[in-house]
Amino acid sequence: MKLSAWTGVALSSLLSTCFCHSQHTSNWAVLVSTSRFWFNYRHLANVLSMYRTVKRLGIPDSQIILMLSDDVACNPRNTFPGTVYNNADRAIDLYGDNIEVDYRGYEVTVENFIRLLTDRVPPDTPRSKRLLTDDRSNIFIYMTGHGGNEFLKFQDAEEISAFDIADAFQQMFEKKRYNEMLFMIDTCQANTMYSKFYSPNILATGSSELDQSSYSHHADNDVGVAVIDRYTYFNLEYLETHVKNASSKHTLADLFSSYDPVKIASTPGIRTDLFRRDLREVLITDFLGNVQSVEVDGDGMRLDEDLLALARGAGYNISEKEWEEAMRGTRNLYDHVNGNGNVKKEGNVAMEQRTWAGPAKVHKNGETDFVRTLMSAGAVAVCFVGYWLFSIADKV
Amino acid sequence: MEPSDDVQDPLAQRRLRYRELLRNITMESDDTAGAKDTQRDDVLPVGFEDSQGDGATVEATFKQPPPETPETIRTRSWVLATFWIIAVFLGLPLWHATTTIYRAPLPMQEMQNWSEGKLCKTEFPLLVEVEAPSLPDAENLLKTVQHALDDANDFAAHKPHHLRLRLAAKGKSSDEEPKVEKDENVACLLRLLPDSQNGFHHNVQSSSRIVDIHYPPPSSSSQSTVNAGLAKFVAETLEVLFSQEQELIEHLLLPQTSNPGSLNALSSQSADEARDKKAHQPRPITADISRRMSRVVKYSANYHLTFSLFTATSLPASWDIESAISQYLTPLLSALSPISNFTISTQVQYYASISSSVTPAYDDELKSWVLKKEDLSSFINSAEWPLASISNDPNLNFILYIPHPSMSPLTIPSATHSNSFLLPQWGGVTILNLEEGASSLNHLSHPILKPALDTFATHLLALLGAPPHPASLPIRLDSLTRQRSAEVLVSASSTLGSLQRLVNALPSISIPSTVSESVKDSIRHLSLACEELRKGRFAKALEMGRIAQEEAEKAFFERTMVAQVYFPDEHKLAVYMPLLGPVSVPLVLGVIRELKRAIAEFKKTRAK
Repeated sequence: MKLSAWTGVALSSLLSTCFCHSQHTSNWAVLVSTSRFWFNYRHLANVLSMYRTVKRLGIPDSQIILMLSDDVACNPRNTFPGTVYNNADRAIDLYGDNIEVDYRGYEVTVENFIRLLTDRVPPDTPRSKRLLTDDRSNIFIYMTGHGGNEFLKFQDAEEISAFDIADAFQQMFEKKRYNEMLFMIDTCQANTMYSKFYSPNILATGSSELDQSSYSHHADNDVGVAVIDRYTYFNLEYLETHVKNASSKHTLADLFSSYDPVKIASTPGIRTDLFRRDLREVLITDFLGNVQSVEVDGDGMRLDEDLLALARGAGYNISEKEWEEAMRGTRNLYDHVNGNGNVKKEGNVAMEQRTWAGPAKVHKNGETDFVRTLMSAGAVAVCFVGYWLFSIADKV
Repeated sequence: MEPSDDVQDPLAQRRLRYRELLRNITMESDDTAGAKDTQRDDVLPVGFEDSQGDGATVEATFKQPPPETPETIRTRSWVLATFWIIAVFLGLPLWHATTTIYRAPLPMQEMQNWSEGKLCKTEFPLLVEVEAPSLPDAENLLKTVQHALDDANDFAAHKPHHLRLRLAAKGKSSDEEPKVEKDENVACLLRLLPDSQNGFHHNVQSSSRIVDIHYPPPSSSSQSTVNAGLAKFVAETLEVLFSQEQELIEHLLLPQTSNPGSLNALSSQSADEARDKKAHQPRPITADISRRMSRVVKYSANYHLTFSLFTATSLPASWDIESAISQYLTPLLSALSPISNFTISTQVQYYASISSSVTPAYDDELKSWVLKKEDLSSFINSAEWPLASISNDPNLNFILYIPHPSMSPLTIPSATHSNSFLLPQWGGVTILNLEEGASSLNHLSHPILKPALDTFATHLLALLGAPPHPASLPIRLDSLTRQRSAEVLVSASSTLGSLQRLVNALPSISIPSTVSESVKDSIRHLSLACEELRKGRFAKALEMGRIAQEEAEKAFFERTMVAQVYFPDEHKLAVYMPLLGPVSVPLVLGVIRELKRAIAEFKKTRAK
């Protein structure tokens, strides 16, 4: 019994890379809405719905970074002051009494977002505004706002490009700041945002393809604006009806297969090539919930020692038999693993070296540096010729 | 267009008048051309030449400006030259100075070498003293044991541990003993004692570094065989004592020697080496080690411990936590203080309900409410329990939970010894069932808290990563020190490697000089730590390693190094064109024009 449990652990740890263990010990969520103004009510409702969901599934507030770009709840145009609803039935007030916004209003900027991800924050930043993850943390990143081809607009003033996010993620990987990551984005042309990622162990999903808009689901006539986007709505619908609590066994494959492009009115995208696990084995709660692994004393841990007395001079002895048993357990395990060629092979594959070639370049297909230089030179030449012509005309 | 309309139109009239004026000034003779001209809409006739058919005559029609005086030419050349001089000697340097990204020089090669573990062959020389008061030829025995140990080491290709035996000075042992305790060089003291009853066995003294080895007293006939047996047993004992630590440290160092994260070109040679090494020691991570590793919190010089009492009702109203901690826990914490420091806070929360998803079932056999294992993983009600820490140090939570009387006793059947469980990297939880009507219901006095604190102490050691064996606390703490110093060394050097790759890959981020200083500091302390390790002064090595790690982190997380906006070259061109185009075109064309004039003049003078 004990042995088989250990074998399981050993196999799983072999299957994963040598420092990216499939086992995570903490879950973090970064939820970002990037648009300002009252008519973007739905983006804030999207984010707050996700906030409610991850909180419902057990991620504590201290591990949720909520970035709200505007305060629609207290907007004078809000018919229901102090509330945000994501449905016209107004059943759930998303802005209830237990909400902790970490970055609000004009604090939601591209710079702050990237600083948050890479943890290059000023020294006086409070703990609640930092993403204090390590190589055992799974991170869920949800973004919503107005986007376009390879960019997402922040605050109606600036934008973050797909390259910036990809570079930030690579820096996180370099510093071992995550174990696995789920990136979910609901904007127009959302799928272009994750197209530039190049760091391992990232699973990405988005609401719409290149040149596709992402639409709102419905409007609340009393609130006066659309209250939720379609992609988020159907995600939430699945999560609310299927994933009742943190011990749910539904997988991401289930969630993704529930997407209906007709209902969503755009084609959702999923990018799995950077992700090593089979989606059918990845629980939704691996990212959206907080399932802490637990060690009960008795398996793997001994508690019958009087440590405190020990510290003052008394002690305990372990029996030789127990010791040998433990040693034998690991030895057997080792043989077992060695005998299994497949496992070993997979382990080797996982160990393959990855190279970081630097930020991705914006080359179109077949376009070389030379062509681009030529084009630049051409642009300069056109300016000269133009000036020349004008000066001739001027002279005459 | 009718001429009558033209005349009526005031604009046309104005144009007509101007043409007249022009004709008078230019003293144009050809009336037809003038008439034609008046028909034109353009004030400055572009098609003028065409209508004339002959450029020369046109030239003749304009009054030529007087030839330029040499002064004006000189002035113009000077003006042009000045503009160029300003552009080249002021503009360009200014542009360069304001747009170049400052990148402080970093010892890139050295950083890479550190991250690949080339610069420091981590060694942990352990000195073992042997005391053998009743053995005649102890020297000889030691030699045999040393030989056996060395052989084992050679066999295992690269083991960071190196055990060295030394005979303790005889006779002075009573004076020596306190010194031994202080001298960190001695990893443990073996005492060889004859024992006629039990044969070979060892006995670890839990509060000191002394290990008693009992051996059957040699019968006079077979002195040599006993010696051989004893030597073998001593070697085995030492192996057992340190094997767990050894495996763990090897596991820690493994990513450093054959690091799949050391992304950029490991030279093919070193890659081959790494492969060779792997071939030599195909040590998979054993389950025990990986379990222990996953449990351990990252090393930090300071930890914050939070002790929380969560009770489902309003009782017990208070607990003697302060005195309990000072009485039971402080000795352990002070024993740990060379490794890390601790700050402690406590809290009591009444009417704390467990998460709604946790549904214990009543078990008639056990006569208690039983928590399933999957309940435990969501036992912490993080939405409602105030467990967020405001301290910047890593936080470890220890929770004492008192269930509602209607749900008491609440037990975890799989826990054999105590009603508790451990959450890896997070903390520990103990469920305490109080008897109905007991006096303890109002106030938890510290005898009641003792078992809970015992459990928490075990949890704490497990979370910090102290090996569960051997039994001796000093040896375990020494082992923890070595393990932590290996950890900080690996972490600091891999951070340096990450920084090096980052700097190479993102040419657009600036590197302030503070980064370069931190990196140099980090490297200096790394080599110091490495040296201390080699000398066997592990506490000092840990201290140096800690500084190295801090500096490396400081360099990596330098807040100005944010690659915030990715600028493709097209964007740069778009930014510069409107600025530089209008400035540079007249400058260049001015030079061309001036050159042409100079050449023409030169030709003219030559023709003359």
